[in-house]
Amino acid sequence: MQFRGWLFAAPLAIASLAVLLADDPKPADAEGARQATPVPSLADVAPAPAEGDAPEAAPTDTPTRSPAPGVDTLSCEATLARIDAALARTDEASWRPDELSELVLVGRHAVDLDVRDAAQGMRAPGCAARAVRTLRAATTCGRAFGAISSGLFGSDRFPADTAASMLEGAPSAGCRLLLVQAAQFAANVDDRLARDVERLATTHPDGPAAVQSAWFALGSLELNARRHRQSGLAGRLDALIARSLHQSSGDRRVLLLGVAGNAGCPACEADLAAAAADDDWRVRLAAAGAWRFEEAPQSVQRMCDPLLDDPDEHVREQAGWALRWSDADDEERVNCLVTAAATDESMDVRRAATVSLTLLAPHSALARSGLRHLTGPEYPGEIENIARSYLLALGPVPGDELRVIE
Amino acid sequence: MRRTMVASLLGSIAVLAARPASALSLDNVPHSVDLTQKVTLSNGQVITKGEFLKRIPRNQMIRLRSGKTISWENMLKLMKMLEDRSKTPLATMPRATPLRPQTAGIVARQRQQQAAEIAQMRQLESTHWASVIQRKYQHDVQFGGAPRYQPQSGCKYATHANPNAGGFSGCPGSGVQHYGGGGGGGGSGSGLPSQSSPGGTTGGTSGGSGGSNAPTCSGTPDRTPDDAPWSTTLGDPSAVSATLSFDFADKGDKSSAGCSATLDATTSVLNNAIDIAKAQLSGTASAQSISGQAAVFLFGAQIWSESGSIGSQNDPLPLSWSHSWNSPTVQIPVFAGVVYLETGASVGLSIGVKVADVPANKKASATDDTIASCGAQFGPNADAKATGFVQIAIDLPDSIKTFLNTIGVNISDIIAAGLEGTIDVANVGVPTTGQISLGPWDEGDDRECDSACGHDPNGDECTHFCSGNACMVLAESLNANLAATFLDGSFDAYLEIANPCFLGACLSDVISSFTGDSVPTTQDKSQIKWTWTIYSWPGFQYTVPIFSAHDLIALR
Repeated sequence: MQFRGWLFAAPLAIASLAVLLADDPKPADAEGARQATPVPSLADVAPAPAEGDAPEAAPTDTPTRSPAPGVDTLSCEATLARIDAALARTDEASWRPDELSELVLVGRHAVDLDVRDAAQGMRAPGCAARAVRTLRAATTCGRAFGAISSGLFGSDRFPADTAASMLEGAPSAGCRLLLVQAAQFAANVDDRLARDVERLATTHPDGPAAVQSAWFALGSLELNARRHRQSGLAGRLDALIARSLHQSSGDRRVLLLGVAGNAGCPACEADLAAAAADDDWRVRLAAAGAWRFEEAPQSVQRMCDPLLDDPDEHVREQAGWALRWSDADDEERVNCLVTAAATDESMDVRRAATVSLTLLAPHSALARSGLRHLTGPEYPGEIENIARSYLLALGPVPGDELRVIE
Repeated sequence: MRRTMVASLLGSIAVLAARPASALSLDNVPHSVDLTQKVTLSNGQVITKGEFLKRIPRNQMIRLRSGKTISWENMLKLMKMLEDRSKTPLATMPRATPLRPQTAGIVARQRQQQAAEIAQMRQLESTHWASVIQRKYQHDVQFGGAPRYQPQSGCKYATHANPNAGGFSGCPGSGVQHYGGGGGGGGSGSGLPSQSSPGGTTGGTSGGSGGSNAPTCSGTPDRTPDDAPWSTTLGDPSAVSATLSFDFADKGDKSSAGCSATLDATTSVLNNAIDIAKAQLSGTASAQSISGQAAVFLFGAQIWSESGSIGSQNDPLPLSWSHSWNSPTVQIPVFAGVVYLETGASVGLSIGVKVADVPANKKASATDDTIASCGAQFGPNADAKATGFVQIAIDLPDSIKTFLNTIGVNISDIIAAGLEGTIDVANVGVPTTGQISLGPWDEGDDRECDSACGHDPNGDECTHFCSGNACMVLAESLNANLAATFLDGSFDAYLEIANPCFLGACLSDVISSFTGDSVPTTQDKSQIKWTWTIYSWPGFQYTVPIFSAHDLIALR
């Protein structure tokens, strides 16, 4: 596969994945290798101390650089206090997105503290375990609960079986919904977690919202499993998603196309191809985006065709967006994007294509060339600005841009 | 490194050319070239560049690694460009350390050169892309493709010597940057139920106002007075970059005034550039009216735009807008169904254009500037003043910063930025150029801070600086680099705001050197002044108003 590894293929704003991508030590192509470097349990990393017996060391809550302290400066006690305060907050409607995002970091930080302290040979305070206990004790689950859980699950040191355990022990359907949404962040995947999520997706115990979240999570879990070379688990999920997609119609088909897109589902390719010709633009849109992680040789063409041909601009925009997630088949990919950026009637499509070119450009001389073309006076306005801004930020034209193709 | 580039190019040419013409074997691929144009082949033979080029058959197109093909003639241009570049000691960017005096002007020149290279490369590649687009377009037509946008044509930039200057083209376009245009298109706000759509910022945006004045190609080269760019560059491209530009011209009855600016905060995700926040403005003044437009983008999506005009230029503050948001929700494209990646950011922005004192009997035309350059343009009889300002505070909460950091987005350096420039010229008499660059944000040297201010309550934060005998609070220390160049002489000056000894006794340490051939000597030159307002997160600001060419000369 011409993916520049999945480091480039998935520049996703999803903390769990990115951390995994950055830190994963190139596991061997077998699930056994995965087992060779097992994810430590919470106890391994951070044995839970007696309450109040948590030796604290720097960093403390005192900000060292910024007047407003960042989450990463919080001590364990302060982290847990923040979690307690968030869970106690009852005015659900008043949560701001940035507050929730911060709580994601709070959850992750609880694990990070354990890892850091363990690395320093300190007596680990078991901060993550204490955070988990706090969440388990919750009787009602609000948005804070979900955000903190997402942070915990997203840490690459957070065991998948603990995530599964929390999901299984959820006190209510509401809590379970939030936990299955958090499972989409799960950096570590195992069969138990996958089956828990699958059960929610296929048996519908908690209603349609949970079903949808569970399906999306299954897609993400499959992709993560495949990237961890957990081929057995990935294959099982792939077959499940493909079978469900093939049997679906209407809104459920749109949903499962999105799931297939999350998964990069190889077994779904025939259905993705068929969906591209659907009369419903929503189906075509979902299908266009669903090729972004597919490794099939025709993937780029499957996105390029709707980008240039689909009569619906939303579909074209989605295709322009989808083409940025891999650099496979660089020439066709870039040529399509440049053509769309230069000629599409919709500004949104042109913008999506141009931004995709900027994302490809660090690894693609052809994309950089395309961006230079878009700086021309015939493409005034935002497209020219994006292209020029990017190129100026990139620095001088690299020397290897000028080498000849062998 | 530059030599290596040239060598790579030459070597590559040889490889390509050798195959069809059998003129060179792989043994003869050159591996180095020096500035005397000697090419050393890998077999040890040293030949001249001219001799080397003779070995390449001229009747063949040369194909580059990027896939483009260029002609022999264009290859020569390309080589010339590379060789020119190899002779220029450019600063390495991004910079990890504050700019030194000698590099301040170099960086500004580097930006200009970079833009020029982009333009040159673009020209060389234009045939290739025209062919690609045409081929794709025909494919679309054949298969009933999507509606096509018609790129503008026949509207060229004015013939500035400096290709960055933009000039008076006023090319029509669909974006928000154009004077009298149709206004911004607004975000899509598609909000599709299960997908994180690329245009999916919440709420969309206003579509701008305007639209009644269709822009035209109003400029002609002979209206363009001598080019005298004055621009500012803020920040390190790897963290925060901003460009503030002015474009002002007055030449007889053909004066014009306008400015445009872009303040752009960019970062990268796994080495992929991401546009975090960007503010753009543009404005122009004519004898009849003053108009301008502004737009703000967050994570690539336009979240606000505004345009307007007034009927007279006599108001010294003809246009200004301000807008702020309390945690607008933005989406970062990710997996479908992700819940907590809708994140928030508050962006405070004040943006405006002020153009004043343009003689009422002068005509003016709209200008269209590229974001990278523009400049103030003064004719021999200029008697005018133009002021532009951009202020933007990008307030991404710490939680977001840290969150994005965990996924490879380094925005820790983003604090806030604001800068204001004023240029006041009265009967300059000769073309004048001033360039100001404000260097990258820098944490400063804590020890310097301690020693200068005598105390530092936070122990490791440079939170103070000296102004005269006063120790003033500075939330984040910054570095600013000032470079001024006069066409009839030149000098570069350096101002390091991060240095606690900014004014007063320590001033000589700050304005540490000048470079260049000479300094202006006439009184007129000393009337060129700069004033700066620098905003430092969170909300603290200080002003450095006392800075003029006269001061610089005296200090020297």
